[in-house]
Amino acid sequence: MPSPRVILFPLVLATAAALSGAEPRVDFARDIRPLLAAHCYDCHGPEKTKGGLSLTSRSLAARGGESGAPALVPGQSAKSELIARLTTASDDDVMPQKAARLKPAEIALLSRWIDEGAVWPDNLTHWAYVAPVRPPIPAITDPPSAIANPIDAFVLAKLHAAGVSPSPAADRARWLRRVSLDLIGLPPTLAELAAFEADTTPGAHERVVDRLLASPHYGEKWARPWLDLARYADSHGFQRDDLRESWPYRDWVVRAMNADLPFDQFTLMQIAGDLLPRDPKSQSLDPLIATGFHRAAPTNVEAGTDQEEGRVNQVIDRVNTTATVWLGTTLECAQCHNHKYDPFTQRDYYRLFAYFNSTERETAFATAKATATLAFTGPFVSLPDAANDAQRAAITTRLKKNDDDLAAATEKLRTGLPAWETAARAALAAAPQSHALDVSAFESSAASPHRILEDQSVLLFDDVPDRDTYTVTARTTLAGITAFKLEALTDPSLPGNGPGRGDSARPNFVLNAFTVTATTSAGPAPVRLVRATQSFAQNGFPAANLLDAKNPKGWAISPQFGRDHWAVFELAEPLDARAGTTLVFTLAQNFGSGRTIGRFRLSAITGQAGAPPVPAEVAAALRTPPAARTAAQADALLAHVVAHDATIATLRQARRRTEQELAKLTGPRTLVMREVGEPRMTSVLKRGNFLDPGEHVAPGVPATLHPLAPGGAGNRLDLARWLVSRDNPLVARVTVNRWWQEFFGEGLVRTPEDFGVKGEPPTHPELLDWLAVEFMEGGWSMKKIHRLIALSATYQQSSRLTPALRARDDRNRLLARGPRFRLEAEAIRDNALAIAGLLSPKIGGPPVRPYQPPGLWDSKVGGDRVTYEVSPGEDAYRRGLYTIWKRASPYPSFVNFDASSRGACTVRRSRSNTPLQALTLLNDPVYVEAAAALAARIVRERPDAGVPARVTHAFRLCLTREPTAAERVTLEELFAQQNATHRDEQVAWQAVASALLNLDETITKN
Amino acid sequence: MHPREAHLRSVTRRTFLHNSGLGFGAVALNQLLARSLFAAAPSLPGPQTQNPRPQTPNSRPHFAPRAKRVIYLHMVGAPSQLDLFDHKPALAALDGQPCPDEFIKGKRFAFLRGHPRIAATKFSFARHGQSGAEISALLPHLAGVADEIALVRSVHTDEFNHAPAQLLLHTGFGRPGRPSGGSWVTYGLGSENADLPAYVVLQSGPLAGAGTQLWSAGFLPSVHQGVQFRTSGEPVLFLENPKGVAPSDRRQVLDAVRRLNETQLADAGDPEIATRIAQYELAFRMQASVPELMDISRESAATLALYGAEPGKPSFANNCLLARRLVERGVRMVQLYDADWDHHNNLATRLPAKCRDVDRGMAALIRDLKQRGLLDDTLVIWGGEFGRTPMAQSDTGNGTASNPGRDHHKDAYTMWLAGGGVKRGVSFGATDDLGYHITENPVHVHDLNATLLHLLGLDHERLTFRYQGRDYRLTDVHGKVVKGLLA
Repeated sequence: MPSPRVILFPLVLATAAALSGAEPRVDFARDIRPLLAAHCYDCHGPEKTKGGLSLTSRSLAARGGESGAPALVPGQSAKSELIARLTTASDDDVMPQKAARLKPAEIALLSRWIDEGAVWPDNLTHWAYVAPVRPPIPAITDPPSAIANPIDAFVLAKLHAAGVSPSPAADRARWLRRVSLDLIGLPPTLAELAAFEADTTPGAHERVVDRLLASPHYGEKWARPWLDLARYADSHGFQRDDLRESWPYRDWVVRAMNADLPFDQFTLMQIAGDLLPRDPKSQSLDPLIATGFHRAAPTNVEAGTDQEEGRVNQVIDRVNTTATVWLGTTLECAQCHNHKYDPFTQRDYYRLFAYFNSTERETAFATAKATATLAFTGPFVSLPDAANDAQRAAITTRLKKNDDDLAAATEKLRTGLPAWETAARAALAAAPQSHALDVSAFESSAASPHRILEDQSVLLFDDVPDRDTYTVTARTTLAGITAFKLEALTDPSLPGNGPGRGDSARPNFVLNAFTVTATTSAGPAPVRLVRATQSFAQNGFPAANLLDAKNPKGWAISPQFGRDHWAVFELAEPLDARAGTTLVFTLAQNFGSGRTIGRFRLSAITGQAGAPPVPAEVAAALRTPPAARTAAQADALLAHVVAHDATIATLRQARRRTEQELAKLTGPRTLVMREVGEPRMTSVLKRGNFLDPGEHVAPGVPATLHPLAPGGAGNRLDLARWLVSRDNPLVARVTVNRWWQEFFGEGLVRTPEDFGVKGEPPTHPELLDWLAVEFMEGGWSMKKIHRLIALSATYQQSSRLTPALRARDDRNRLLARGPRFRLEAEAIRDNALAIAGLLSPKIGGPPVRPYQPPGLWDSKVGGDRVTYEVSPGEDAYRRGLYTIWKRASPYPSFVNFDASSRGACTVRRSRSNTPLQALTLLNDPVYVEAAAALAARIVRERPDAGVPARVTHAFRLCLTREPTAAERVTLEELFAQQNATHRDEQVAWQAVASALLNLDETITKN
Repeated sequence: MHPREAHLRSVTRRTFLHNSGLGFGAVALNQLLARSLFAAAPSLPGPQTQNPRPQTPNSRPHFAPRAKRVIYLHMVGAPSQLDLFDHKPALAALDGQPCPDEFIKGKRFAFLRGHPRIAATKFSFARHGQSGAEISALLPHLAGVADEIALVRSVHTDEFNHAPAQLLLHTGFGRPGRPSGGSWVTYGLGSENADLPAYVVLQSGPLAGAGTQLWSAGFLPSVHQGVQFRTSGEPVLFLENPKGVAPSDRRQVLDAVRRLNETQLADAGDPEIATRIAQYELAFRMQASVPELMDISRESAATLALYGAEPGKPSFANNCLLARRLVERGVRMVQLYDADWDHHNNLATRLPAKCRDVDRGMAALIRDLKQRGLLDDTLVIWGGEFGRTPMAQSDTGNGTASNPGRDHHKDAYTMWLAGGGVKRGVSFGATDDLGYHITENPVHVHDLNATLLHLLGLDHERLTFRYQGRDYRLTDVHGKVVKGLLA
């Protein structure tokens, strides 16, 4: 029998705790199961039962393991083996055996729980894992004005129970602004306001909502939160944050929402559109385009990245994002270990991983020779581009004809080859010959990494400096050097294939100085160059510029990009290097903007300079009798003849021009998912480490949730169908909850990203379930649910926070008032542009670049050099949805208003309130311009009105309501002050406009 | 209350207003206006948020802090520890020889291929100060303050590519999306200055590879993001009034905005409006305080000379001086980035040039902080995102050609710390004879972050934020405080 002291002491404590209310009873689900899951279940859980012990139920725990001692004796922690093994001093017996000991507080909690009776509910299934059933609608009819549809009945039932009255309805103008901002993200026009105020017949609200739901701007507004979930952006992320083309996916989201594509279809297409059975009647690429959802994962193409690690990280991102978006579940914990709180195991995690593990790679070495530099690859689709189809066909025909002509011309040269050879051999003695110089050292002043290729050309890679000077050292023993030849060569690793480095659209270079020093035993001496010729020179930039040290212009090749070029520099006197001479070449390239040569080769020329040089291998072939020639020599000869034939040159030039025409006609492309032929094997990654694979797993879904439909192919399509199964307890709840959050600022579950044990329970569980069932049974229609919410009396309430409500429910958990919160980043700008009359209504298309302060993109380590050029015309005034999203440098005014950088899935942006927001609205040229345009609009639309009428008009444009007298007077005074100072009405109206655009109410939905 | 909600409450000041028992009249508003809204933070999740107390604008650390603020000097690209701080004479004997097999067996490198060769340092080392710290001749000024710093020669990380390693060091995670350490610090401690952001970023050279994500607030409210102060053009984006708008014009507009917002506050009762009003006032004050701060021309000639700073010529030295001015004004976290430390080749010429860029300024910073009594509670940290290999890298990948450099090395490198509760004049941790593996006191970058928070009085395991269903920390699920570094 234990000593009274041992018993009494905890009793006293427990009593004291109970009296003070400081320590509520231990709750198994909240307090104990997480501990067991975290510390015990690896060995005594659902998967393993070491020593015969399982701690997954009260009876199994009470039975104990092979030792025979009950792990659990309810009411008696001192007799419970569980506690004994946690606290023993014996290293052999102490638990956990393979992990850190529990903290004393945790052991105390377990003891207390046992002493309180070890309450262990049998049916522990968390509410969110039980499929929703449609609850009865509360029979509430009072007050009738507060019940527009079943949503209100659920809300009122709770309000009645709490003894709180709903708020009165907001006035019509406020409701119109609220519902317009919510459904299309734009404020109502004054004409729309007038129409609504004049429509006093029943159904006026319904007509407004239906008009908004049918607006093409509805999809724009609702795409925004979805694109946050999809972490959609226009660049790769990481160091090499180059731009990518995936905007057709963004446009598809807008289209799908406008068309009210049922959410189950919307899901199937995004998760597995590539695997859906093709509809033979449809040419639509939409199912493929939709798979851009998961191609939006960031891609690391920094040189030197482990590509497999990068790929695994992308798969992890896809699993986590899928779980967050469709299951409202944080699965990433299970990457390294069984989930501590929610019933998901590490094995569950990698079974889901297996579904995503077999898509094509998205990086590759940049060239066949590269060992570190990466290119962004992976599958894409080209979009149909009907407008240009006919033109494309015509060009293709021309190309074919051109190819035929080339083949004929080549054949003619081949037959004429013997005759040419006779003449060529005669001239060979004097003909110039080119000898590539062996590079013994290379230095770049900008320290660009380089590699010397087998053909003795030097290839520069990685980051492109603005300017660079190459110093090349080569040793030669040639006799009779009459000239040096510099070849600027293309390479697939260069932007636009080169030969310049700076710009994939215009891979030009500008060589500003070319000097040679020859060092013999007598010491160094400059080599004098007297004549220069080249394959091609840009207007005003002939290689001859380089002969004059004072001429800064140099040699350049625009617009003949994407092909090899050469320049030959003749020496004043032949150079005899037989005794061994070290040549040092300096190639200065000072133009800036990376106009440097990406790959080049230096050669010495012997023989009669000025004549077209005969390459060494051609000369060798000519000296070899035809019968004795190798195949390579024969090819070299023909290639040489072909290269110097005028007819062929003309034909080739024509072909290049035609190809360029065709390239310009290429339609847009977008990133898609595609399976590899043979699925990859998936293993559990120990502690999430891709270098430490454990047991193999097959694709599958978490055991806790509903089962997969039988007969699937074991691919992503199975998963997609499982996600939108009517049996899925989560997907409909999670989805309607996120929409609710958009309308009310907070979800019915206020942790919209976590429906698990640690998330918050719903404030209105029956309403959530009713909406979820209504959603699924209503054909997964988003618009139907939005219509219900927008027309509910709950949504129509005034948002005024009265002192009584503030005291009772300041967070509006009871929904006793309407929503009031700041607009999101894009909407703030859209709203200002709309008010100012600047907003372009254009829908869709490539991302646009509105004004941002200069220089933000120009200077960054790694990646293509992209200068931010403001889009021309209306594209500078498009909705924020279309603003280009560069992950390493997102649009700054959006960042200041809590936009995500889209590096990871975001369910809910923060909503902060900072001085940078004030500075943005006051000084960002976008808002300054909006204020100026609004000022002009006020005057334009009220040409003959006085100051009060103009103020009123401006006020209504911004806030969709009449100002109070005091509000009007404040702005009139501002006008008067400013007009007195500046004696310029436009300036004064601009001050008024700026004040209005900066009001809290203007950037708030209320 | 849910921790996240608790935090949002504090950010929006509801809690303050609520618990102060005030309505939204002039009294509450005036109190709000007197506070730093950048401070809007310090509700630490944990038991106390179950019953939130009135918020105070300034810090409420978990325990007594040793440092109140941090200056973090990040050398973008990763300097070579073997040529600056971790002297390995044994490399000289093996210079040009193939490296030991075990250096490459099963190892992954960014660029090294084949069997690379050992590269000895080309620079001399000497012992400095009473502590006798071995420092390269490339850093003569820093050597002069050797007794103030703690060299940590045993830092290691998990990532060997720039952007992931930068993200891991700054956010505790090698991929985008999480808050930076500076954001965590201001989330935990708030600001001490009513007119300036709590977290300021200064840059010399191009933007680091991972971009603005390095000072992003991630999923923390954007009030915690690092604010970049630019050394040319507008010091803060959108700080300056548009052309033709005088401060008096702006004041008139702001007065009208304020009156209208107050009307709205009285009508709608939303405390968010009170915050908005206060933020506009802070914005107005920033328009004066930031340019004043950025103007170093009024520093004494002696101070300018100490740093090698030149007004009007942006440089790392200027940024060091600005860092001092910032912490002097109570800015909590100052992060400096200096680019172009990624010396894969031509290390022999590029590294000395970079050292000349930073040496005087960073040594001056330590001296200046000390002479002003700020070093005791200001933590200075210097280092890159990883280290560099003892093997040479060059165009051929194996280090045989001319002008070699060194590849990325994640397993061992050096950083240094000074001030704010850190031991002075010590060398901590050690690597093997070839500087490849750590042999003593390994310090993972998570440990470094845990230590940084600890010095600020924050428990890295308790400084959490609930987001998308998980309690996140700067140190993820890792990190232990490096007790051996604590003074």
